Amino acid sequence: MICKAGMASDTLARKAQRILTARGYPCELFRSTGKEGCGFGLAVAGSCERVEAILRKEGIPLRSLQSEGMGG
Amino acid sequence: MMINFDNAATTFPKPASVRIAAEKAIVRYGNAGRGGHPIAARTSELVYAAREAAADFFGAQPDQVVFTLNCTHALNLAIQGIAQEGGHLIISSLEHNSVLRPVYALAKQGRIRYSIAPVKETAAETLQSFSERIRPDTRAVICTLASNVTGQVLPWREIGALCQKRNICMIADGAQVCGMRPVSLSDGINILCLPGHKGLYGLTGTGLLISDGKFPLPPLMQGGSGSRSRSPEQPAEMPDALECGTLNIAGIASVRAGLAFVKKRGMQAIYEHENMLCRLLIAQLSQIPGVTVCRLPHADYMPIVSFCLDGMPSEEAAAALGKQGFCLRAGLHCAPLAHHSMGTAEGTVRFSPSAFSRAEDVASLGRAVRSLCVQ
Repeated sequence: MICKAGMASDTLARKAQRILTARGYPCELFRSTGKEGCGFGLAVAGSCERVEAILRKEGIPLRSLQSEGMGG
Repeated sequence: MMINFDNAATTFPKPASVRIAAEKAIVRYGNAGRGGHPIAARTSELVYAAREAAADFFGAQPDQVVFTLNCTHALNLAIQGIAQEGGHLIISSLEHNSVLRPVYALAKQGRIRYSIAPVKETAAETLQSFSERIRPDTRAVICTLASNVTGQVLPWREIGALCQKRNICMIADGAQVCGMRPVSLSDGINILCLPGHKGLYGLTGTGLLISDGKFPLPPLMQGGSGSRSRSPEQPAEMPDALECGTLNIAGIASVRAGLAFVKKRGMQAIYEHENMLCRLLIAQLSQIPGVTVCRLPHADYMPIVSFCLDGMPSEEAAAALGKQGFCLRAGLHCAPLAHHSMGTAEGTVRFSPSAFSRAEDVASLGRAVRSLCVQ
Protein backbone atom coordinates (compact mmCIF):
# COMPACT_ATOMS: atom_id res chain seq x y z
CA MET A 1 0.00 0.00 0.00
CA ILE A 2 1.30 3.40 -0.95
CA CYS A 3 0.12 6.68 0.53
CA LYS A 4 0.74 9.80 -1.50
CA ALA A 5 0.94 12.78 0.81
CA GLY A 6 0.88 16.26 -0.70
CA MET A 7 3.04 18.72 1.24
CA ALA A 8 3.13 22.51 1.46
CA SER A 9 6.79 22.88 0.50
CA ASP A 10 10.00 21.09 -0.32
CA THR A 11 11.29 21.83 3.18
CA LEU A 12 8.26 20.35 4.92
CA ALA A 13 8.34 17.34 2.58
CA ARG A 14 11.96 16.65 3.54
CA LYS A 15 11.20 17.13 7.22
CA ALA A 16 8.31 14.69 6.91
CA GLN A 17 10.52 12.27 4.99
CA ARG A 18 13.06 12.21 7.80
CA ILE A 19 10.36 11.63 10.40
CA LEU A 20 8.59 8.87 8.51
CA THR A 21 11.81 7.09 7.56
CA ALA A 22 12.94 7.13 11.17
CA ARG A 23 9.66 5.46 12.10
CA GLY A 24 10.16 2.68 9.58
CA TYR A 25 8.14 4.09 6.67
CA PRO A 26 10.27 4.26 3.54
CA CYS A 27 9.25 7.19 1.39
CA GLU A 28 10.22 8.89 -1.80
CA LEU A 29 9.90 12.59 -2.46
CA PHE A 30 8.31 13.69 -5.71
CA ARG A 31 7.33 16.93 -7.34
CA SER A 32 3.78 17.45 -8.39
CA THR A 33 1.48 19.90 -10.07
CA GLY A 34 -1.92 20.26 -8.53
CA LYS A 35 -4.69 22.81 -8.33
CA GLU A 36 -2.43 25.07 -6.26
CA GLY A 37 0.36 24.85 -8.81
CA CYS A 38 3.79 23.40 -8.05
CA GLY A 39 4.07 21.20 -5.01
CA PHE A 40 5.93 18.41 -3.34
CA GLY A 41 4.75 15.09 -2.11
CA LEU A 42 5.87 11.92 -0.44
CA ALA A 43 5.06 8.44 -1.66
CA VAL A 44 5.05 6.47 1.59
CA ALA A 45 4.96 2.72 1.98
CA GLY A 46 2.21 2.68 4.55
CA SER A 47 -1.38 3.57 5.29
CA CYS A 48 -2.56 7.12 4.91
CA GLU A 49 -4.22 6.90 8.28
CA ARG A 50 -0.89 6.18 9.95
CA VAL A 51 0.97 8.78 7.89
CA GLU A 52 -1.54 11.47 8.79
CA ALA A 53 -1.40 10.59 12.48
CA ILE A 54 2.39 10.74 12.60
CA LEU A 55 2.70 14.00 10.71
CA ARG A 56 -0.16 15.66 12.58
CA LYS A 57 1.58 14.85 15.85
CA GLU A 58 4.75 16.46 14.49
CA GLY A 59 2.88 19.58 13.44
CA ILE A 60 3.47 19.10 9.71
CA PRO A 61 0.50 20.27 7.63
CA LEU A 62 -0.68 18.10 4.75
CA ARG A 63 -2.18 19.37 1.52
CA SER A 64 -3.62 16.07 0.40
CA LEU A 65 -3.67 12.35 1.08
CA GLN A 66 -4.35 9.60 -1.41
CA SER A 67 -4.05 5.85 -1.02
CA GLU A 68 -2.89 3.68 -3.86
CA GLY A 69 -2.69 -0.08 -4.06
CA MET A 70 -4.59 -2.89 -2.38
CA GLY A 71 -6.59 -2.15 0.72
CA GLY A 72 -7.20 1.54 -0.22
CA MET B 1 52.28 40.03 4.62
CA MET B 2 48.85 40.93 5.98
CA ILE B 3 47.50 39.71 9.30
CA ASN B 4 43.76 39.93 9.75
CA PHE B 5 42.53 41.06 13.14
CA ASP B 6 39.18 42.26 11.84
CA ASN B 7 37.28 38.98 12.19
CA ALA B 8 34.34 40.71 13.84
CA ALA B 9 33.60 42.10 10.37
CA THR B 10 33.98 38.68 8.75
CA THR B 11 36.23 35.76 9.55
CA PHE B 12 39.18 35.64 7.22
CA PRO B 13 40.72 33.35 6.22
CA LYS B 14 38.03 30.68 6.00
CA PRO B 15 38.74 27.04 6.81
CA ALA B 16 39.82 24.90 3.87
CA SER B 17 36.67 22.79 4.29
CA VAL B 18 34.51 25.87 3.73
CA ARG B 19 36.40 26.86 0.61
CA ILE B 20 36.10 23.32 -0.73
CA ALA B 21 32.36 23.20 0.03
CA ALA B 22 31.80 26.46 -1.83
CA GLU B 23 33.88 25.35 -4.80
CA LYS B 24 32.02 22.04 -4.91
CA ALA B 25 28.71 23.85 -4.78
CA ILE B 26 29.58 25.87 -7.86
CA VAL B 27 30.28 22.78 -9.94
CA ARG B 28 27.66 20.45 -8.49
CA TYR B 29 24.51 22.33 -7.59
CA GLY B 30 21.80 24.30 -9.36
CA ASN B 31 18.67 25.76 -7.83
CA ALA B 32 16.77 24.29 -4.90
CA GLY B 33 13.06 23.54 -4.72
CA ARG B 34 12.44 24.66 -8.27
CA GLY B 35 12.33 21.45 -10.25
CA GLY B 36 11.98 17.71 -9.93
CA HIS B 37 15.13 16.74 -11.85
CA PRO B 38 18.24 15.20 -10.25
CA ILE B 39 20.24 18.45 -10.01
CA ALA B 40 17.33 20.22 -8.30
CA ALA B 41 16.80 17.27 -6.00
CA ARG B 42 20.39 17.11 -4.80
CA THR B 43 20.50 20.88 -4.38
CA SER B 44 17.31 20.81 -2.32
CA GLU B 45 18.80 18.04 -0.21
CA LEU B 46 21.93 20.14 0.40
CA VAL B 47 19.86 23.12 1.50
CA TYR B 48 17.74 20.98 3.82
CA ALA B 49 20.86 19.38 5.30
CA ALA B 50 22.18 22.87 6.01
CA ARG B 51 18.91 23.78 7.73
CA GLU B 52 19.21 20.61 9.82
CA ALA B 53 22.77 21.45 10.80
CA ALA B 54 21.81 24.99 11.85
CA ALA B 55 18.70 23.74 13.67
CA ASP B 56 20.74 21.20 15.59
CA PHE B 57 23.36 23.83 16.48
CA PHE B 58 20.84 26.35 17.84
CA GLY B 59 18.08 24.13 19.23
CA ALA B 60 15.46 24.75 16.56
CA GLN B 61 13.40 22.94 13.96
CA PRO B 62 14.82 22.81 10.40
CA ASP B 63 11.75 24.44 8.89
CA GLN B 64 12.20 27.39 11.22
CA VAL B 65 15.67 28.13 9.77
CA VAL B 66 15.50 30.91 7.18
CA PHE B 67 18.52 31.69 5.03
CA THR B 68 19.07 35.40 4.54
CA LEU B 69 21.60 37.65 2.84
CA ASN B 70 23.31 38.54 6.12
CA CYS B 71 22.50 39.29 9.74
CA THR B 72 21.20 42.76 8.88
CA HIS B 73 18.66 41.22 6.50
CA ALA B 74 17.58 38.76 9.20
CA LEU B 75 17.22 41.56 11.75
CA ASN B 76 15.18 43.67 9.36
CA LEU B 77 12.85 40.71 8.68
CA ALA B 78 12.41 40.23 12.41
CA ILE B 79 12.10 43.87 13.48
CA GLN B 80 9.87 45.03 10.66
CA GLY B 81 7.81 41.89 10.99
CA ILE B 82 7.22 42.19 14.72
CA ALA B 83 6.46 45.91 14.32
CA GLN B 84 3.62 45.34 11.88
CA GLU B 85 1.10 45.73 14.68
CA GLY B 86 2.83 48.73 16.18
CA GLY B 87 3.57 49.01 19.86
CA HIS B 88 6.72 49.64 21.80
CA LEU B 89 10.17 48.13 21.29
CA ILE B 90 13.19 48.06 23.61
CA ILE B 91 16.75 47.98 22.31
CA SER B 92 20.03 48.17 24.19
CA SER B 93 22.49 51.06 24.27
CA LEU B 94 25.10 48.97 22.47
CA GLU B 95 23.13 48.13 19.34
CA HIS B 96 24.62 48.03 15.87
CA ASN B 97 22.92 50.12 13.16
CA SER B 98 21.36 46.91 11.85
CA VAL B 99 19.05 47.18 14.87
CA LEU B 100 19.01 50.94 15.50
CA ARG B 101 18.29 51.98 11.91
CA PRO B 102 15.20 49.86 11.24
CA VAL B 103 13.84 50.73 14.70
CA TYR B 104 14.54 54.43 14.17
CA ALA B 105 12.93 54.33 10.70
CA LEU B 106 9.80 52.67 12.08
CA ALA B 107 9.56 55.26 14.86
CA LYS B 108 10.05 58.10 12.40
CA GLN B 109 7.16 56.71 10.35
CA GLY B 110 5.06 56.79 13.51
CA ARG B 111 4.57 53.05 13.51
CA ILE B 112 6.26 52.24 16.82
CA ARG B 113 7.80 53.87 19.85
CA TYR B 114 11.05 52.66 21.35
CA SER B 115 13.22 52.87 24.43
CA ILE B 116 16.95 52.37 24.79
CA ALA B 117 17.99 50.30 27.80
CA PRO B 118 21.46 51.31 29.02
CA VAL B 119 23.83 48.39 29.31
CA LYS B 120 25.63 48.58 32.65
CA GLU B 121 28.77 46.99 33.97
CA THR B 122 27.02 44.12 35.73
CA ALA B 123 24.42 41.71 34.39
CA ALA B 124 22.03 42.49 37.24
CA GLU B 125 22.10 46.22 36.53
CA THR B 126 21.61 45.64 32.79
CA LEU B 127 18.66 43.34 33.44
CA GLN B 128 17.10 45.98 35.69
CA SER B 129 17.61 48.51 32.91
CA PHE B 130 15.53 46.39 30.54
CA SER B 131 12.93 45.47 33.12
CA GLU B 132 12.11 49.04 34.10
CA ARG B 133 11.51 49.98 30.47
CA ILE B 134 8.86 47.34 29.80
CA ARG B 135 5.40 48.86 29.27
CA PRO B 136 1.98 47.33 28.69
CA ASP B 137 2.41 47.88 24.94
CA THR B 138 5.95 46.50 24.68
CA ARG B 139 5.98 44.08 21.75
CA ALA B 140 9.61 43.07 21.62
CA VAL B 141 13.07 43.38 23.07
CA ILE B 142 15.73 43.48 20.40
CA CYS B 143 19.26 43.17 21.67
CA THR B 144 22.69 42.13 20.70
CA LEU B 145 24.13 39.19 22.60
CA ALA B 146 27.47 41.02 22.68
CA SER B 147 28.67 44.40 21.48
CA ASN B 148 30.53 44.44 18.18
CA VAL B 149 32.61 47.35 19.53
CA THR B 150 33.80 46.12 22.90
CA GLY B 151 32.59 42.53 23.00
CA GLN B 152 30.63 43.20 26.22
CA VAL B 153 28.18 40.36 26.73
CA LEU B 154 24.59 41.09 27.66
CA PRO B 155 22.76 38.78 30.09
CA TRP B 156 20.71 37.35 27.27
CA ARG B 157 19.33 34.33 29.13
CA GLU B 158 18.04 36.52 31.92
CA ILE B 159 16.59 38.97 29.38
CA GLY B 160 15.00 36.01 27.61
CA ALA B 161 13.43 34.80 30.83
CA LEU B 162 12.10 38.29 31.52
CA CYS B 163 10.56 38.43 28.04
CA GLN B 164 9.00 34.98 28.40
CA LYS B 165 7.42 35.98 31.69
CA ARG B 166 5.88 39.06 30.07
CA ASN B 167 5.00 37.38 26.74
CA ILE B 168 7.30 39.75 24.88
CA CYS B 169 9.15 38.64 21.77
CA MET B 170 12.91 38.46 22.19
CA ILE B 171 14.86 39.12 19.02
CA ALA B 172 18.57 38.48 19.42
CA ASP B 173 21.48 39.69 17.32
CA GLY B 174 23.95 36.85 17.65
CA ALA B 175 26.58 38.28 15.29
CA GLN B 176 29.43 38.38 17.79
CA VAL B 177 28.60 35.32 19.88
CA CYS B 178 27.29 32.51 17.66
CA GLY B 179 29.97 29.97 17.00
CA MET B 180 31.95 30.92 20.09
CA ARG B 181 29.55 30.50 22.99
CA PRO B 182 26.54 28.16 23.14
CA VAL B 183 23.40 29.96 22.01
CA SER B 184 20.04 28.23 21.83
CA LEU B 185 16.42 29.20 21.37
CA SER B 186 15.88 27.51 24.73
CA ASP B 187 17.75 30.52 26.21
CA GLY B 188 14.45 32.38 25.88
CA ILE B 189 15.21 33.74 22.41
CA ASN B 190 12.21 33.71 20.09
CA ILE B 191 14.03 34.91 16.98
CA LEU B 192 17.80 34.56 16.58
CA CYS B 193 19.48 36.54 13.81
CA LEU B 194 23.07 35.85 12.88
CA PRO B 195 25.55 36.09 10.03
CA GLY B 196 26.80 32.95 8.36
CA HIS B 197 30.15 34.60 7.71
CA LYS B 198 31.53 35.44 11.16
CA GLY B 199 31.63 32.84 13.95
CA LEU B 200 30.21 30.19 11.62
CA TYR B 201 33.05 30.76 9.10
CA GLY B 202 30.79 30.71 6.01
CA LEU B 203 31.02 33.02 3.03
CA THR B 204 29.93 36.64 3.04
CA GLY B 205 26.41 37.00 1.66
CA THR B 206 24.97 34.56 4.19
CA GLY B 207 22.82 34.98 7.24
CA LEU B 208 20.21 33.09 9.22
CA LEU B 209 16.97 33.91 10.97
CA ILE B 210 16.00 31.11 13.34
CA SER B 211 12.59 31.21 14.99
CA ASP B 212 10.78 29.20 17.62
CA GLY B 213 7.53 29.86 15.77
CA LYS B 214 5.88 31.65 18.69
CA PHE B 215 5.82 35.05 16.94
CA PRO B 216 5.08 34.50 13.22
CA LEU B 217 6.54 37.14 10.95
CA PRO B 218 4.89 38.48 7.80
CA PRO B 219 7.08 38.54 4.70
CA LEU B 220 8.97 41.69 3.72
CA MET B 221 9.34 40.46 0.17
CA GLN B 222 7.16 38.34 -2.05
CA GLY B 223 8.26 36.20 -4.95
CA GLY B 224 8.87 32.68 -6.17
CA SER B 225 8.97 29.98 -3.54
CA GLY B 226 8.89 26.84 -5.71
CA SER B 227 5.53 25.79 -4.34
CA ARG B 228 1.82 26.71 -4.57
CA SER B 229 2.75 28.79 -7.57
CA ARG B 230 -0.82 29.33 -8.72
CA SER B 231 -1.52 31.48 -5.67
CA PRO B 232 -0.59 35.17 -5.91
CA GLU B 233 0.07 35.13 -2.16
CA GLN B 234 3.36 34.31 -0.50
CA PRO B 235 3.07 30.95 1.30
CA ALA B 236 2.40 31.21 5.01
CA GLU B 237 4.52 28.19 5.98
CA MET B 238 8.08 28.66 7.15
CA PRO B 239 10.66 28.97 5.78
CA ASP B 240 9.01 29.81 2.44
CA ALA B 241 7.13 32.72 4.02
CA LEU B 242 10.42 34.57 4.54
CA GLU B 243 12.48 33.13 1.68
CA CYS B 244 11.67 34.00 -1.88
CA GLY B 245 13.73 33.89 -4.99
CA THR B 246 16.87 31.87 -5.53
CA LEU B 247 18.93 31.14 -2.45
CA ASN B 248 22.69 31.60 -2.18
CA ILE B 249 23.43 27.92 -2.70
CA ALA B 250 27.23 28.17 -2.52
CA GLY B 251 26.86 30.35 0.55
CA ILE B 252 24.53 27.87 2.25
CA ALA B 253 26.94 25.04 1.44
CA SER B 254 29.70 27.11 3.05
CA VAL B 255 27.63 27.72 6.18
CA ARG B 256 26.98 24.01 6.53
CA ALA B 257 30.71 23.35 6.21
CA GLY B 258 31.47 26.17 8.64
CA LEU B 259 29.10 24.72 11.25
CA ALA B 260 30.89 21.40 10.87
CA PHE B 261 34.24 23.15 11.30
CA VAL B 262 33.14 24.85 14.52
CA LYS B 263 31.74 21.61 15.91
CA LYS B 264 34.90 19.71 15.05
CA ARG B 265 37.31 22.36 16.35
CA GLY B 266 35.06 22.86 19.38
CA MET B 267 33.32 26.10 20.30
CA GLN B 268 34.92 26.12 23.73
CA ALA B 269 38.38 25.64 22.21
CA ILE B 270 37.83 28.46 19.72
CA TYR B 271 36.55 30.77 22.43
CA GLU B 272 39.43 30.00 24.80
CA HIS B 273 42.00 30.48 22.06
CA GLU B 274 40.62 33.86 21.05
CA ASN B 275 40.17 34.91 24.66
CA MET B 276 43.80 34.07 25.35
CA LEU B 277 44.85 36.27 22.45
CA CYS B 278 42.75 39.13 23.80
CA ARG B 279 44.32 38.79 27.26
CA LEU B 280 47.74 38.78 25.60
CA LEU B 281 47.01 41.99 23.74
CA ILE B 282 45.44 43.70 26.75
CA ALA B 283 48.50 42.84 28.83
CA GLN B 284 50.71 44.51 26.22
CA LEU B 285 48.47 47.54 25.68
CA SER B 286 48.14 48.19 29.40
CA GLN B 287 51.92 48.72 29.52
CA ILE B 288 51.86 51.42 26.84
CA PRO B 289 51.36 54.98 28.07
CA GLY B 290 48.65 56.78 26.16
CA VAL B 291 46.67 53.64 25.28
CA THR B 292 43.23 53.13 26.80
CA VAL B 293 41.60 49.72 26.61
CA CYS B 294 37.81 50.01 26.54
CA ARG B 295 36.88 47.36 29.07
CA LEU B 296 35.09 47.53 32.40
CA PRO B 297 36.59 45.46 35.21
CA HIS B 298 33.41 43.59 36.18
CA ALA B 299 31.81 43.07 32.77
CA ASP B 300 31.84 39.88 30.70
CA TYR B 301 33.40 40.01 27.23
CA MET B 302 33.58 38.10 23.99
CA PRO B 303 37.03 38.05 22.34
CA ILE B 304 37.02 41.63 21.04
CA VAL B 305 39.20 44.47 22.31
CA SER B 306 38.60 48.12 21.49
CA PHE B 307 41.26 50.65 22.36
CA CYS B 308 42.16 54.30 21.85
CA LEU B 309 45.48 56.09 21.45
CA ASP B 310 45.87 59.52 23.01
CA GLY B 311 46.21 62.23 20.43
CA MET B 312 45.76 59.90 17.47
CA PRO B 313 42.38 59.43 15.79
CA SER B 314 41.41 55.79 15.54
CA GLU B 315 41.33 55.78 11.72
CA GLU B 316 44.83 57.22 11.62
CA ALA B 317 46.07 54.56 14.03
CA ALA B 318 44.43 51.77 12.04
CA ALA B 319 45.90 53.13 8.80
CA ALA B 320 49.37 53.19 10.35
CA LEU B 321 48.93 49.63 11.60
CA GLY B 322 47.67 48.63 8.16
CA LYS B 323 50.90 49.89 6.62
CA GLN B 324 52.71 47.49 8.90
CA GLY B 325 50.50 44.62 7.78
CA PHE B 326 48.01 44.54 10.66
CA CYS B 327 44.37 44.73 9.55
CA LEU B 328 42.13 46.22 12.23
CA ARG B 329 38.93 48.20 11.90
CA ALA B 330 38.61 51.69 13.33
CA GLY B 331 35.94 54.33 13.74
CA LEU B 332 32.39 53.84 14.91
CA HIS B 333 31.95 50.23 13.70
CA CYS B 334 28.41 51.04 12.56
CA ALA B 335 27.47 51.29 16.23
CA PRO B 336 27.19 54.99 17.18
CA LEU B 337 24.96 54.09 20.14
CA ALA B 338 27.74 52.02 21.66
CA HIS B 339 30.31 54.79 21.25
CA HIS B 340 27.90 57.31 22.72
CA SER B 341 27.46 54.99 25.72
CA MET B 342 31.23 54.56 26.06
CA GLY B 343 32.13 58.19 25.55
CA THR B 344 34.29 57.36 22.52
CA ALA B 345 32.67 59.75 20.07
CA GLU B 346 35.67 59.61 17.75
CA GLY B 347 35.66 55.85 17.63
CA THR B 348 38.11 53.15 18.61
CA VAL B 349 40.54 50.70 17.06
CA ARG B 350 39.07 47.21 17.30
CA PHE B 351 41.02 43.96 17.62
CA SER B 352 39.03 40.81 16.85
CA PRO B 353 40.88 37.51 16.36
CA SER B 354 39.68 34.23 14.92
CA ALA B 355 40.38 30.54 15.36
CA PHE B 356 43.33 31.03 13.00
CA SER B 357 44.97 34.00 14.72
CA ARG B 358 48.37 33.39 16.31
CA ALA B 359 49.89 34.55 19.56
CA GLU B 360 53.13 35.62 17.88
CA ASP B 361 51.19 37.92 15.56
CA VAL B 362 49.36 39.45 18.52
CA ALA B 363 52.72 40.08 20.18
CA SER B 364 53.91 41.78 17.01
CA LEU B 365 50.75 43.88 16.95
CA GLY B 366 51.41 44.98 20.51
CA ARG B 367 54.89 46.12 19.52
CA ALA B 368 53.49 47.95 16.51
CA VAL B 369 51.00 49.83 18.70
CA ARG B 370 53.82 50.76 21.05
CA SER B 371 55.83 52.11 18.12
CA LEU B 372 52.90 54.36 17.18
CA CYS B 373 52.76 55.79 20.67
CA VAL B 374 56.43 56.70 20.90
CA GLN B 375 56.37 58.66 17.65
